[in-house]
Parts: sequence; structure tokens; C-alpha cells
Amino acid sequence: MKFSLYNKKNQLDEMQEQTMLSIEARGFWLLWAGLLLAILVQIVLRTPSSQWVGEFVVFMAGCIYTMIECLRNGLWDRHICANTTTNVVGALSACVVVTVVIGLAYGSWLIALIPGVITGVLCFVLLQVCMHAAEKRRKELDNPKDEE
Amino acid sequence: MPKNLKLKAARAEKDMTQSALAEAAGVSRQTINAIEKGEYNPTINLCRSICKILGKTLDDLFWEE
Repeated sequence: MKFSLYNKKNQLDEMQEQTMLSIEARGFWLLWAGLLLAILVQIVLRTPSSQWVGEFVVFMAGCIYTMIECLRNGLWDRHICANTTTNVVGALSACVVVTVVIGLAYGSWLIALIPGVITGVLCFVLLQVCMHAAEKRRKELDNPKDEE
Repeated sequence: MPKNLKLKAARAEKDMTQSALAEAAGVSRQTINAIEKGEYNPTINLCRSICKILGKTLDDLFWEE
């Protein structure tokens, strides 16, 4: 029997492929949440940034790749509607998380509010920009120029 | 999704096991089993492939009244 370490041809059928994709998706979100939690805990414990920069770079690389691919394909979210209200809620959540994490780390809620508000504003701007980019791209994909 | 008894009957009519049908369609036995049990919704390509093997039409095997 011929030994083969890697086979270019997909060895899964369509149902197995779908199962594998959902396993990979769950794995991705598990790693995403785990990395985020690990980074936040290290910030709260005031661990030197040199110790968690690796996790941060991997986390951001994953986030940026996912964001770019979603925008390129005109995708937003399965369950969350693309509108300003949901973006405000998202930005407020980011604001609260950053305020709490910095507040716990440095013990001053007033000082923690400054990076919290800045994060919230930046998050809102980014969400709005991405939402419009995704809508624009979806319209482009819905109306291809070479059709008809 | 309801069970696909028409597929099971057509397979039995041809005296084929799930494994034989799976091999002919180029999928795993668990996929054929899941289709028959109504646990998996196959793509149109797989539906066509199964229909060709069993000598049936898409309406015969996959249309629900």
C-alpha cells in the first residue's frame, strides 16, 4: 500500500465537510474568547505587556483577517442587524469592558473612564465604517457589472 | 426534517445496501444514513447522483407533498 502523508483531494464528503467546518468554527470562537480572556486577565493583574504581546498579536491578526474577509464578501453577522443602534450597543459594551478592566487594574475608576470612552468612540467609528463598507460591497456583489 | 422513506424504498428495490449506495455516490455511509433519517439535507449534486444510481427522478425521491 502506498504511503501518503497528505492528499490534495478532499477526503471528506459534503456532510463530513459541513461537520468539519462547524467544528472548526466552534474551535475558532473558543480560541478567540480564550485569548481575549487571557489578555484581559493579564491586564487586570498588571502583567508586563512584554508577557502578553504574543497573545495580543495572534488575537489581532485573527480579528483583522476575519474582518477583512467578511468585508470583502459583503458579510456582517448572522444574528446582529447592521444598524447604528446595534453599533452604539457594541461600542458601549467595549467602553464598559475597557473601563472595568483598567479600573480593576489601576484602582481609579475616573482615570479608567478616559481610555474607556476613547475605546467606545473609536469602536463606534470603526463599526460604522465597516458597516457601510460591508453594505457597499454587498450591493456590488448583488449587482455584478457583467450580468445581463 | 422528516425521514426519507422514498429513498430507503428505492434503495431496497434495487437491492442495495447503504454502503453500496454510498460507494456508488462517492460519499460515506453515514451521509446516506443521515439523508434517510432526515438528519442531513443533501446538495442538489448529491441528490442528482443518488437519483441516477437508483434510476429515479428528483421528484420521486426528494419531493414532499
